Amino acid sequence: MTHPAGNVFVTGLGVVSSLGNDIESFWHACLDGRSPTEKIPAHWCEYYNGASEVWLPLHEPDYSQFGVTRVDLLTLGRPALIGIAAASQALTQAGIVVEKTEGTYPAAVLQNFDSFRAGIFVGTGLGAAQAPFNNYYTHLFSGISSVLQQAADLHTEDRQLRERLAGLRAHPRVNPMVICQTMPNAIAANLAIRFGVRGPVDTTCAACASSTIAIGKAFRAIQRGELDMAIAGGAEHLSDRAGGVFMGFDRLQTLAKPYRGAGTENRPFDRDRSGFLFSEGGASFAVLESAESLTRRSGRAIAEVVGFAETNDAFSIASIKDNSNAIEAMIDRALGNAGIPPEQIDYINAHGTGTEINDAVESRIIERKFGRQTRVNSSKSLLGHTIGAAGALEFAVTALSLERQEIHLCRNLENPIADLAFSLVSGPASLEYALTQNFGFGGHNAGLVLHRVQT
Amino acid sequence: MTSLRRDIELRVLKVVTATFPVQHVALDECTMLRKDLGADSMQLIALMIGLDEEFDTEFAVDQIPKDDVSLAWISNFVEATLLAAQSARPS
Repeated sequence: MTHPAGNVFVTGLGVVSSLGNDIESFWHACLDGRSPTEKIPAHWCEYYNGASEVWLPLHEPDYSQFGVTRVDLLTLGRPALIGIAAASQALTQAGIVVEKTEGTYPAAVLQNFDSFRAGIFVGTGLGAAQAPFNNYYTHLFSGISSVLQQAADLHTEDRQLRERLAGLRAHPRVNPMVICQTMPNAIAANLAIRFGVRGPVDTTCAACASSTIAIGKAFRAIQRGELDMAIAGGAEHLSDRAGGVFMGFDRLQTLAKPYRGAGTENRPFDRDRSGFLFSEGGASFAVLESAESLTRRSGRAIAEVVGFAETNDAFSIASIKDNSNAIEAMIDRALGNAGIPPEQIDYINAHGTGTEINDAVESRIIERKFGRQTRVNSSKSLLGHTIGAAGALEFAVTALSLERQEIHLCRNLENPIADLAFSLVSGPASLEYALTQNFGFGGHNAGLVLHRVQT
Repeated sequence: MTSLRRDIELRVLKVVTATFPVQHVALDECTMLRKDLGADSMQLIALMIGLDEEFDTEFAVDQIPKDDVSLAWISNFVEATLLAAQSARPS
């Protein structure tokens, strides 16, 4: 099968998420509307009592299946590790083999690709913020370990105090790789090393729009003929020993507050929404390929990327601008890039954070631009917010929705704030074109238009 | 050989075998990390992190010879560090 020149296809997807660490379990959890929230770790409350009490923990995969060694586990940051796991899945699904050539340079080679015409595009919001948070904890508390011991020795009768002091005990040493773990480009660089990719290795840091923009950059590089393939997506890991990242978002009044009980706090587009659900993290990567590459390899496409645009509100570091035309300009440009009018968009995977202002502004824009017929859901109603990885996870959901002609429900949406065609139950849908959009702290707005591939 | 020394050697061996893919190499106290196990710089850093964790102490990395070291040298290094920490502890 040949494909029109200049077109860009998704040929592989991979995920590490709170809903599953492979595409099939992830997709079925989405359709089932699962969102296994838990109370935040109790010891975080030793340091801080916040307004939000829940998060979505991440159960990391068995890394050995992705060739991750003990050396990797001890030296790489968590975002790089989950990124490797997700990108490895995407390459496997695309049928692209990474040949390991131990003892020579480069140590890995992408079979049947020119390594200089392959790229890596990664979005991440906070890089590996957990690394400096955790290591600064180590730096402080290992330095006063003798003081903690003396305090415990002075209060031998107070068991509770002794336990609390013991709980403050830190590793003896700051990890020697803390700088290399913290660099936002560490995720992309580690993917390049592991897969032998020697073209552009790019990191986009644009808060919650990071990985949408990263995928958009990959799309453009392939569309312009600069690359044959790219591994594009995002990774984020947000838990640290003392809950510092959680506290930062909570202090900003952005996180979902207690509601009617466990699992009801996260309510995108609902009248009673109160903030987003803090996710421990996640990663998602896609393999994007040119039409020529897909034809040459006789590969199978999951979906086609047909449009991308980004704009900026130039307004606030932490708030979306109401009545700005920047988001609508982004949508116009993305649709223009795809060469389709708004009426042809059948489905919008919304940013849908569940914060008061985001959902109000976004729903008004969707109504103005697309009317009330286009199906809308928020994957964050299930996945929580993974910040820099959110766009890539939602890109995967959008591609799977087009491929499988199904969309997932918008969880906890009982009283919608707008009369839009929200997906209230998961099920079949007839979809040709879809838009996935994200807006980030700093005013970043980005959207990707995807097209169904008929098989 | 003291029981402390024997214990250290076993635990050093545990960390080394977890860090290096050594299933085809017979390890003894003369085994050299770079020459015999092909250790690279990342593996040596991981080895130090592993030793920190195993013995719950911080080893002075700057004292490790740059060229190569044997397993016996590492066990000596660990033993000396632990004994120094023990004698520095207030009684």
